[in-house]
Amino acid sequence: MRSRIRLTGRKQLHRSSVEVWLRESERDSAYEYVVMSLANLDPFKSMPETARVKLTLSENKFSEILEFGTLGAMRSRPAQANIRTPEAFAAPSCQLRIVGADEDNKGRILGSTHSWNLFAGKGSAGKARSEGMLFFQPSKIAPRVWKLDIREEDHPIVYIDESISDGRSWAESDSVFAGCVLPAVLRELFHDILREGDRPDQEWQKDWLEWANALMGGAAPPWKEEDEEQKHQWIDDLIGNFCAKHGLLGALLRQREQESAS
Amino acid sequence: MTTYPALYQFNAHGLEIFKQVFFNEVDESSLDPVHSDYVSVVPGTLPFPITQYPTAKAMAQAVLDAMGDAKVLALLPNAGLWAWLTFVMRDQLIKRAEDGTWQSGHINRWYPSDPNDLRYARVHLVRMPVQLLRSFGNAADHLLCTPPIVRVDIRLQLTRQQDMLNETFQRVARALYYDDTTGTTKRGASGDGGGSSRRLAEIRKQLAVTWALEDLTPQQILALLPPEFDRFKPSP
Repeated sequence: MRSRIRLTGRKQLHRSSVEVWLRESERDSAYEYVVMSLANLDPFKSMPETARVKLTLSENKFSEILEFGTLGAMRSRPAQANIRTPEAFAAPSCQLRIVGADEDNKGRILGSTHSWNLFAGKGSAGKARSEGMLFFQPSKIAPRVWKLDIREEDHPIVYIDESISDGRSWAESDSVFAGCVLPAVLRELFHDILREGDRPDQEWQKDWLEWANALMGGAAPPWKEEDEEQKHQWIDDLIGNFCAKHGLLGALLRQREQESAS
Repeated sequence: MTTYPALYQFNAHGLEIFKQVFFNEVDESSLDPVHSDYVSVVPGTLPFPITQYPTAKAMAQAVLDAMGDAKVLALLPNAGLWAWLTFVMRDQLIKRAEDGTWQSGHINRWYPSDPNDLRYARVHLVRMPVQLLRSFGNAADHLLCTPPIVRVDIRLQLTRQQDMLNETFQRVARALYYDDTTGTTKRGASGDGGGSSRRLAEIRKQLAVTWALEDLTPQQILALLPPEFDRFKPSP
């Protein structure tokens, strides 16, 4: 079971305490820089003006630390930081850290957020994408067609190789993808969730369990480590119910009929 | 000793045959590493003499020396180059079975993955040593002190996460695990015992909850490590 015990004196910040935007290059779709502003000054009140504001971007085991200057400067205006390796990031997860810079606290993390998925777009588009449970994101993953990235603290992402044109829409609407890939995604996802051995404390996992509960008519998942066979059966039933509810086989057959007719 | 007049890169056709060689589908003689049907010269590179390299560091240094004016970091995504280097040094990198077939292991040990996909990029037998030596110089000694063919647990453990790929962290690891007198890693550095490199990777994550490690010196990080690392710490 994952549990959090905070003994470090580090202040837990909510991600809504800052606003963060990825900005795309005009030349291609890679992200080039990040703009950040303090949305609410209260959580930072007790922190020194000299503390440094950092944002860690992580994706695919690659990470980069962006520096936004001092907290004092950011109290009055947004700051910007360039991404040195923009080609590494399609939909990075990010974490804000406020780091001490004075002699007595140099290098100590004074406050931080949990990590969250960062998408491009300010306002409703970006916000709507941040509120889903499963995201589809074009990325360079060839020779694979798709790949599930299960993140520790935020909702999972299914990467679609960027060579597939309009991959996100394709993944969200294609009946073959839905019928063949989504069951495999669900299997991998719930295998990971049930592996915890107890009810998880991550919000994204709770969201998925609530979703599964509705599909399974309240049949609780088996949590015990020794219930390996029951876990397998429960996930299999869940996938069956999911396919039945959304008529995935029928949709795939209709798509094939239309393709062969045209 | 074989000396190539420059570094080469496989084209798409060459890469396809390269894959077939290590999947044991065609014989290695099917691929001529200097024929224009399969390769082109990497601009700006120098003659590349191949000797029997005693360590991955020596191999990486030879590749870096041959890179001449070419920019190493810009060459990291060049799958054709890294595949070509793997092919021309194959007898030092990849084992053969008794019947002569290749026992090549995971594809990304010999076929370069996207360099940003660290999970697989770090296992490449040529590119990763070159990248480590280029980035950290002697601070990567503990990662590169075995023959190129050896699967190195300490390298896999200490390059698992991108934020381990910084010089300060690798200087800490070198100070703990590299023995300057023998030119090898210390006994117990691999594996999962107390103070091992696997434990260092775990402790680093714990320290990173409280500390911005990129802001600390190697000495400050060494001082933060728990007693299980004492047997590896250098004498003051």
